[in-house]
Amino acid sequence: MDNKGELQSALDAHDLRASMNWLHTWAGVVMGSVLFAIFWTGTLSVFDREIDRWMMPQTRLAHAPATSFDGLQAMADRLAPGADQWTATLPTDREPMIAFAVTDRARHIKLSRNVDPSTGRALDPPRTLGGTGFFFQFHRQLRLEFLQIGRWIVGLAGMTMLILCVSGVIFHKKIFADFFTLRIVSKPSRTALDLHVLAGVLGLPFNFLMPLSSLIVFWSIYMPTPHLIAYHGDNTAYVREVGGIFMRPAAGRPAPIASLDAMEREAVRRWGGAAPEMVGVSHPGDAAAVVVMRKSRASLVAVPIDVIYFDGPTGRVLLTNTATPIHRIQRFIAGAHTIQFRNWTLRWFYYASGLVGCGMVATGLLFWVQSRRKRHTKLGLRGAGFVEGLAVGSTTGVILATAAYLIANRLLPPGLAARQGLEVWSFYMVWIAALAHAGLRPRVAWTEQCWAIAAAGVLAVFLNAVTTGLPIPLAFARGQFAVAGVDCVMLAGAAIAAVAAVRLGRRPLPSPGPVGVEQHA
Amino acid sequence: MPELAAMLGCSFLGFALIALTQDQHRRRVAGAGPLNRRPARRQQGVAAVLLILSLLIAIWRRGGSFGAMLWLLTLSAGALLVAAALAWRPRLLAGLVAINRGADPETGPGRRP
Repeated sequence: MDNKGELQSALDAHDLRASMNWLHTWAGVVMGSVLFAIFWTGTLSVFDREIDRWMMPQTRLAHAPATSFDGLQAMADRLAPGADQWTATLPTDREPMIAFAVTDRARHIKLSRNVDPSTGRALDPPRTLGGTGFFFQFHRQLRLEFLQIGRWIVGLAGMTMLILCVSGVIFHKKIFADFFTLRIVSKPSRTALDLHVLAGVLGLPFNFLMPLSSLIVFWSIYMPTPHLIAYHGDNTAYVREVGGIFMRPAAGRPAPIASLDAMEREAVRRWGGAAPEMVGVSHPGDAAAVVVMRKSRASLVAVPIDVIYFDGPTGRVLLTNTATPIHRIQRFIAGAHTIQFRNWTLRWFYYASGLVGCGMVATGLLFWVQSRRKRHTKLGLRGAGFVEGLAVGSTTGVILATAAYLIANRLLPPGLAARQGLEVWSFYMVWIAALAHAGLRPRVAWTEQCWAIAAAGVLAVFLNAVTTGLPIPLAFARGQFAVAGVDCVMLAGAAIAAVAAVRLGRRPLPSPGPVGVEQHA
Repeated sequence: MPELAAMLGCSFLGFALIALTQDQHRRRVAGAGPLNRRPARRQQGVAAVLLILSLLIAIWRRGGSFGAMLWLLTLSAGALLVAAALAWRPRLLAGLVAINRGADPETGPGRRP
């Protein structure tokens, strides 16, 4: 059912199932590589801050005591004295430092610094994008910010994923009879298809709700006009009303600021016990100083937009904002996608579900390659070889590139100003190299790249132990669970990749086994 | 954490019971014949109760929003574990066939229509 003539005949026959098969196959082949990259970086983004700790050793702090809000002003002054605005994002168990952003418009200073909450001293700049700056940005917009092209491609991929879920369920003839069926047989394409169907159908809640919620998260990009009609095209008015933004110019008269700790107590009281996660001050020391606090996301699925603005000199509440009921639904869906709340069980389930999703995309591509190869070789066509190279490069290749990114982080000197860019380059260079390798050595590419992943995973763990002096047992002993966790997952991934490589090598060529796509670094 | 184990257990058992109303899995797990319609329905009913029970545990222990999300994900996990058990360790589930042998062709009357 996969060429144009067959589509036509299928449509002529009004055969819904056949046309869904065509749709599923081609939407999958065309978008499969992009979908794998998005699933993979999304899965990594579940633990983006843990990857940050691994890649930014200077932020591996012991968990700090509760921060005094009144002490924050002194820390901000130390970073940039006399700045006219600063915000501080407070430590959490995933991010043990205070993240300061300081702006001084008069002197054109705009800086972001991490501060150790127990000493109040600024930490060395990370000089890496880490997990939040790289994998998460890749996941949400492929790091293509120009004209928001990346977000549109991700949106298209999300829409395609929904189509793939629906068409897959419709055309699968025996969805209930095969519900739990996994045939480990000598015919690898059969096993690949069973794995694809199992991961797709049994993981359907996650596979369907993640792309759906992603479209709802970015609704204003995909449907940019409706809300503007209500505000007569004035986006600023819309943002101000929905976000609850309060601004006023400096008065030019000095006045001491009231106690931030008292304001924090007031915020906690109004939010029914929820703490602020961010505090900011505009025009500190001025009679028109404004203090803003944003409610913590730790204990709710729905990402709260609650803010409170205080008058700096008196501590009086100027403005509060909370989400309307409809907005709260959108925030719930967004929160269920972005999991910024504190819940380790769900976090691990999301991680596992993401890996199952990666396996689904990879086995789907693999099945297509396997079922095509024989026929195309007979017909002398070259298309299947191209897709096979693409399939290897976009599955094992992107995993290998991820490992290269982490290895570059540990090999390049931390003081090197260009380190951040070089890490990103090593990711893309290794990815391109993996694609080229798959194109040049199509028969053995899966096996060789699996070996490379296994080696790279072990190397990354070794380099972390050597360069940061924190091997896995010590990391556990010191309570650095983020570092220990990243290391353990990489070792597990390396082990799985090695097993996959052995099995792939044993299999008679030219039929690569289905196990090769199941490994994850 | 005990509630998580309970939820996964309910999900696994529930899906295993559903799978074991299907002829191919009954044969593979215990060499058993097909179930009659009525015992099959009864078995599916028990499975449904188990799956709903895991939802109730989730909401009771983890609250409405976190609980419902966790429940959906444990459903997938339980079903995938059943598929894995059927593929690699089918004998693990033999006990579940034994408790509802119902109407095997050898022992009971008639086949499912």
